[in-house]
Amino acid sequence: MAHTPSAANPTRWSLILRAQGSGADVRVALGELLNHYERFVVWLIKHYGHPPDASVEELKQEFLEGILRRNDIAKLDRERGSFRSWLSLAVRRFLMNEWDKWRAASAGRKGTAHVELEAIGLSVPADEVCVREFASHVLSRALSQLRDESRDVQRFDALARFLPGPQLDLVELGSLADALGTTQNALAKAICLLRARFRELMREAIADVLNLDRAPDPGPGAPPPADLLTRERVIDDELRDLRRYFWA
Amino acid sequence: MNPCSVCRAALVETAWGELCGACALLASVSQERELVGDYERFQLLGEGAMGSVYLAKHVHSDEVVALKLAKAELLQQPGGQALFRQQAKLESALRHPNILPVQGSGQHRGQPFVVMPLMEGGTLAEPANSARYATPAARLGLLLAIARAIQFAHERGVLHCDLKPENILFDGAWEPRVSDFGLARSLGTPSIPDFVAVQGGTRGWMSPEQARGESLTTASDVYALGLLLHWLGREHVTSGEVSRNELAASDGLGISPLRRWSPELAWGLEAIARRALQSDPEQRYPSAAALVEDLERLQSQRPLRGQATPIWGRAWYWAQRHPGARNAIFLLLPSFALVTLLMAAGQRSELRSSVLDVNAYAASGQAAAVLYQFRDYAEVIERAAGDPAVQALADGPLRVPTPAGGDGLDPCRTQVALEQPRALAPYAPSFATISVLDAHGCARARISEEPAQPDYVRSTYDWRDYFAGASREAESPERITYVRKAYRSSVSQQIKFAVSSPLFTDGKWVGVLTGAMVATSTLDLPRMKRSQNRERMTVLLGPFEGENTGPHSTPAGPTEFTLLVHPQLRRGRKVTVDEATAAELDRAFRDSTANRRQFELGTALPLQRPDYVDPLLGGRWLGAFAPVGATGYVVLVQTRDSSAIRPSNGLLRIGLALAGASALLLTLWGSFYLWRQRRIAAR
Repeated sequence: MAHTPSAANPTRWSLILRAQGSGADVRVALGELLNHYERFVVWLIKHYGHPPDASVEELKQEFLEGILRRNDIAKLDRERGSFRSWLSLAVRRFLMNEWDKWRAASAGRKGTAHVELEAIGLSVPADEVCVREFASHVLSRALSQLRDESRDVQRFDALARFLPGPQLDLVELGSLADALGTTQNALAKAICLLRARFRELMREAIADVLNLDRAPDPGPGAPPPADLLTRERVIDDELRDLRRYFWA
Repeated sequence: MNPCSVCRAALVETAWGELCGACALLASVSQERELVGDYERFQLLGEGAMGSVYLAKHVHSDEVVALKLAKAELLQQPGGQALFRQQAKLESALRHPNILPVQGSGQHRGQPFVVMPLMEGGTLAEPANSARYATPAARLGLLLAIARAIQFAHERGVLHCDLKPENILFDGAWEPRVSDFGLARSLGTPSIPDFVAVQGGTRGWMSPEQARGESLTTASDVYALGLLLHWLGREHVTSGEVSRNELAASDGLGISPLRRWSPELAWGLEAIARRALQSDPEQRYPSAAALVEDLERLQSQRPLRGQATPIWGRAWYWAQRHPGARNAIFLLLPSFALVTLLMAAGQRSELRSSVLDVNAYAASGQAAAVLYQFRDYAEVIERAAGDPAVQALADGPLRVPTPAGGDGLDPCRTQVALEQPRALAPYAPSFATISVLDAHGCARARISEEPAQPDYVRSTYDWRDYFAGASREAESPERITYVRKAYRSSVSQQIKFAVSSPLFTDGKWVGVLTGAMVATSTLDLPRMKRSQNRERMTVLLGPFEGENTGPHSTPAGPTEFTLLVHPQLRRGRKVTVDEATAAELDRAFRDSTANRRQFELGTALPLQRPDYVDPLLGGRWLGAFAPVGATGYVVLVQTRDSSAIRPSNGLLRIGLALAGASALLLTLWGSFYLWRQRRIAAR
């Protein structure tokens, strides 16, 4: 198991490279790429804050249209950083421009715009940190959802901190079982089931962010179809990509 | 913010504290799953001699199982992999409700593994499980289930060789399952790799021969079961081995904890543990089956096989096996005791009543006999009183008259000699003493068994009842001889009673003729004599005349009854009945004595006294008193109370024995029950 951040995401970059190419496949690849990151863009717009005269959806559309119009994807260099960081930076610049426009249009609100722009330009964390916060947001949302599903909330709260981490050693498992008044095996099973469900929720969250279709059920015993395998690989790639930002 | 201790990534602050987002994301990567066959490995659950046990989840069915992976150290040994497979095969063959089954097996990257159901109840060593087996019965049931599983393995030629609390698992329904036959070997296949031999068994849970590395038999597992029994016998079950010191500290074999564990099972548990923990395998139970049989016997409250069960132990087992009969005994035994005692009391009452009735009849008969005897005496005295020669003895002047007589001077004081008593001779044989007194009460003539004292002739006897009564009768138109009150002889000091009659000469009262008998043990009455024995006897009582109160006077105060005939009465001894009895006799027979015709049979019923105390013999007697006509004398027929109720003694003894047994049984049972309740409450 690798615990160090990977320098690049080959799957993501293969899609980007396809979008940077030529021919009919370019539009498809570009559409797919933007579709995957559409919700991330929304999250970034909400995260950075936007001028009040435009909605998040309008700004997202404008941003994506700008990328397509300027063919920004074609200018991406794999060696200069991750696509997500670039996207984060692009959204930030886009929002600053939007704030400028809004300031120009509303001279009376100059002071306020200045404050907002400073918030974007100076106080906001670096783009890597922003992505990490996005990942943390996905993580917290999955945990909250798992808590909502849990029948024993108190027990969940006691076990939640062990879900993302590595497996417990036997001493830790024994003492925790004693503290909860249960047996080691029962506790291990509970943690195992929570972890399994947590993984499902995390993957669903990522699939949702990437605008992936729901996974088709291959049926019991049937081999998973190729598109399902691709979908799972896309999610795995996304998870690995997000993971890198925790070392930023 | 501190980095993650595993991946050094920055931690994320969440509602549940700081979490590692990088680890969380990595854990969500499906390609990062640790797959062993079709199972995803999650959590290490334990380490055995041959493998590590993980919690795993089937990737398709989501079934959570325990997955045992062969240890790398084992696989590095020659034949290690084959041994792991052999043990897996062995465990698969052991299908028993109390043996952890093997669901499947396989190999992952050259590492063999077996799949078993996850035992959510954990191991017996976990403190959470001790509370579930807090009662002695539960622990005994647990041990029995384990022993049955071992017996099952033994019957298939498999030894466990590593029996300990950590290898006793519980499923979700808390059914015990013996697990980890990792060291198990088939009987007769002693060859095992050195690695396993070195690692084999657990210190503190091995039999002596296993610790020495000798060949093993089923007795080795029996020893481990004995240790497990001892371990369960601790006051509070905790994890940890049973140390040799612990064994040595208590009774040589560590038996004493079992007494604290379960007092009611203590004897049986000790016996089983003692036999299972023998150092010599030959001295132990030969197999788990024999141990199981004894545990079953203990559980069903039956005596152990091959053990000398004390009688109280057998009684206890019997009472436990037959609660209905036990309760019936507890209920019926006191009831039988009560009924028997009541019957004995009733029989005694009836016996007393019956004996009193018999005594009353006997007393009436004896009283009649005595009355006839008195009448005989009276007839002799009457005949003598009618004899002129006897009359002449009282008539005429004194033989030596008063030299200077005067009024107020007792004429008897001057008399110096008696008349010749020849005239009395024909009548003398009937009496101890027959004497004639003149009208002054001076003795005129006398024939007696006793020699006369020198002052006899100078004494006045006008105060005696036999004189005073006869002198009173002299004034009566009837000439009747009377039986007089008993008295103490001034000559011999003996107690006597007398029959007297006035003497007349030419119609003039001249004196009194008296015939006296001495109070003796039998009075030589043949009919009374026959009835005398130490348990039943006839007694003659008579009114005592009292102190000298002067002539023609009646003694004041209550009538005093003295014994005249009694088997234990010595001559000269005055013995009176107690005042209460005397008063009762006086009241009962007063009317009959008021009749002046003494020799007529009265109509008074005998007086029955169930609590009469004999003044000579003491003790309680059943007495019946019957008046002797109107003489004032009373015949008493008495039977010793203990003799009268003797026929009921058998019943009484049975009743007392039953009552004693009931009291003892209830006391013992009650004490044991209360003690047991306190033990249970304390536990």
